[in-house]
Amino acid sequence: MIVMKQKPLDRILDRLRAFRKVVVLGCGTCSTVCFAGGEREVEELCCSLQLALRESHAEVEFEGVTCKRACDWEFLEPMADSLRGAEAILSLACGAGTNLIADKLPGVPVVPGVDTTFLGANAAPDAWSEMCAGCGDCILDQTFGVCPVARCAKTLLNGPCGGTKDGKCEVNPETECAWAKIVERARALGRLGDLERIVPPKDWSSARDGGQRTLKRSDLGLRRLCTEDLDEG
Amino acid sequence: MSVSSKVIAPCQAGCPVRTDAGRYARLVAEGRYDEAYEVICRANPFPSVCAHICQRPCEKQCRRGPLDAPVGIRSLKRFVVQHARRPAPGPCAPEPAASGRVAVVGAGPAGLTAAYDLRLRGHRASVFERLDRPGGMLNVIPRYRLPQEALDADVAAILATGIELTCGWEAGENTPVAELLERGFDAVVVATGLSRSRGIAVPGFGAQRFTAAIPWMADVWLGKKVDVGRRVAVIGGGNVAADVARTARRLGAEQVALICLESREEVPAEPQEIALAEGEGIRLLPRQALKRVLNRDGQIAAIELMSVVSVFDEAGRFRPTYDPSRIRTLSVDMVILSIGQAPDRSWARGTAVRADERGRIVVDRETHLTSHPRVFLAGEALRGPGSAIQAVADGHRVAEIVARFLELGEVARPAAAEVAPLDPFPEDVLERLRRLATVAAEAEPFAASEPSLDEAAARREGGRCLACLAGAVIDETKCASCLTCFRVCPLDAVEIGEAMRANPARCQACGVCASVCPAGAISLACWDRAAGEWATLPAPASRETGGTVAVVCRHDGGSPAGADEIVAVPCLARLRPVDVLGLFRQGYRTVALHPCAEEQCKYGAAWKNIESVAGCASALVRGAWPEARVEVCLPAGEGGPVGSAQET
Repeated sequence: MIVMKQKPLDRILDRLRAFRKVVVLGCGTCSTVCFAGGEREVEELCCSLQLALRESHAEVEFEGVTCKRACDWEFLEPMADSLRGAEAILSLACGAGTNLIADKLPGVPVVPGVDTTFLGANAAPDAWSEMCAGCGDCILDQTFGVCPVARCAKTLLNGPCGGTKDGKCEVNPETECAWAKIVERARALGRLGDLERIVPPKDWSSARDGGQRTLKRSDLGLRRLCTEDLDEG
Repeated sequence: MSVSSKVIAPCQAGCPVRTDAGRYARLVAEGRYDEAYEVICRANPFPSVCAHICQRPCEKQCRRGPLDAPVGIRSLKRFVVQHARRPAPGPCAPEPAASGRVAVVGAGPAGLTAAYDLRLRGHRASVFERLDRPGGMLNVIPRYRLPQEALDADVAAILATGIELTCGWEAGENTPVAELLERGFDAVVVATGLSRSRGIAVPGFGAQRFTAAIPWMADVWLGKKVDVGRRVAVIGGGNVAADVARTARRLGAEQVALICLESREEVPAEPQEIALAEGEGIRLLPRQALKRVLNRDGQIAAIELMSVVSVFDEAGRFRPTYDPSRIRTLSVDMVILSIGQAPDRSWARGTAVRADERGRIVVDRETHLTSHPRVFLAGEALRGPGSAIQAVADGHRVAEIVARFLELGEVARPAAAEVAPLDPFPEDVLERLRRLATVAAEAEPFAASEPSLDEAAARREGGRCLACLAGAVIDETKCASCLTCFRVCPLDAVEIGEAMRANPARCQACGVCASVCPAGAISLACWDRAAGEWATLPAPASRETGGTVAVVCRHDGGSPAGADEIVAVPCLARLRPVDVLGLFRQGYRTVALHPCAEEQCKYGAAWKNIESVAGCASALVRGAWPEARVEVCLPAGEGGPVGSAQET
């Protein structure tokens, strides 16, 4: 899941000062699940923004809407008129959704209301932990299911470093040392010897440094046969 | 054709007229007595009568029973009829063009209910009653159990719909039912009840001091002068026998014995009726049969009782066996027989209504139709002995059939709505509830003459309802499957399937899931959030200073002093942070949350959620309006002084 965190109210307010008609757009998927921008937060934010502006005598209209999934335009299309009619869209979707909205509605300023933080898993009803960095070349089989790219502060492929102490990381004593976990699991499986092999430098060409990554699955053959065939004809 | 059963609350399933008892119990808890009265009257035109004498089949089904004690539903009903503002009775909707005329014979609960329903459907109804007043057998229930004014109130409201009543009219050979048909009535409903007491083949029966229960009780309670002995033997073990015994005691009998065939465990009267009788000094002599009555100088001097070996055979049929060697003599001067009632079928004489070789009216028990195409039978005359509410239910049934007959000209079997009660609580839920539901059971003792509840006690008692089928409903189209509800539910009521689902057999309607759901996908069947009182809350007098709005638990949050406005909600745990923000939007600067005392709260775990909601709301408003405050006000005895504010 993509984990997000709502921006502080004063930051949001700063970005919205110039606008008189704002649509607060929530997303019903990851953003809802991590309590950053689902229907609940849309309602709360509309209310908080109006409260914050109560003294300014500014007549600002906030309209809250929540779509099922903001990273698919088809879910946004039914509310497109409302979005186009706004002076600004405050998007509580992740960066993916917010980018898409801006791409599709170039005429309307889009203000992010959340910070997209990481790909994570649920640790408690109110807590999430990063589990994946989206490096594009998964090595979890070699690291006993614990990703050092996402979970080691130094992204070490041969760990642990000297900063591990009692299973915690020197960078933050609250953070578990990923390599201590890897060693612990290897020991439990009787495969400590596997860790003596030096892992060569990783091929980072699939990671994010090469610009926007895309994925095309021509093998699936997904297309709207009738209309496209007609167009080609 | 199979009809799938509709699952309903067990109290409702247990009620012959399907009164939504849970709903009115919860309305009482919220102080909404007028609405509670309306819920009661929707199913039952005898609310006041049943508030006193209903045998409470609902309570026997209550799912709270195994936890501590059932909700005191009848006590709540009595509270409601005493405290609700009743709508002024009056004529109902005008008659439709195709309205029919119906004669109802017998003004007991079945007959009056049938007339009432038919009248509400727009037909004209005339009721003919043998006694000099309406009410039927309800008139012979002792007044200490059923006050006259309760009966009068219900009867008056029923008649006020425009029903014509003729008293002192006895259906018999001189005024046959057939004559009613000749007088232009389109249909006749006979609901003459069981007005005859069964006799016994013992010499001397019928003498002044060897009498039957019903005529004697009728004389007592209809105000005639009655004779009572000094030492009275009441023969019978039913509720009527217990009433007769207690009545005799009240009329001055020094010794009263209640003599029945059954053992103490088998006695058909409600255990509490026997307990009350014994409490009044009445002796229960179980497993005894009346053998003969001994007279001296033309007066009853004693009775001989024969010991009963068993009452029922192996198949459970009534087939008493005796031990003739064990005879005891009891010195008495009066014997009252209360061994059951029988219908008076004299109304059928001279009509085309057929009877079988044993004199029983030939009737289709489903359509109520006799062998005459326009004469219907209902109530105890059709079903045999039963409770008042069963008679009311039969009145509803026959009215539906007769109305259809009048409107469509056909007599059809009613389309029975199949219902099934909600399953009992799983044992693990009961175990958790025992720990969570901290409210002490103020279970009403099973007393017939129980005292009326005061308002505080009634609201507490209503609050004990565990809200069967009134809890969380998850909207699949909005649910994000985030699992939050699954994770926070204290009773594991949420199930993960293709869609998230709140299992009604476990849910208690605490509302915590609805409060925290990030998708706004969960609503509560028992509470319409959109209709919250804050929707109509006036803005504070001064926008400059704001003011304080107190949000109190409707169950027991009290009336906090110092608040400019008070909003009541049924359990504060159901609030969402945005609900609190909405109050700030109204202009209030302080929102004071007043939950009920923890020991009063039926949701023991709810308290923590109230603190969480207050914390969330406080954090949200801080950025928007730094001067605004959310306070959680602890009730007295919660570790702080009364009304102490805990800023979050």
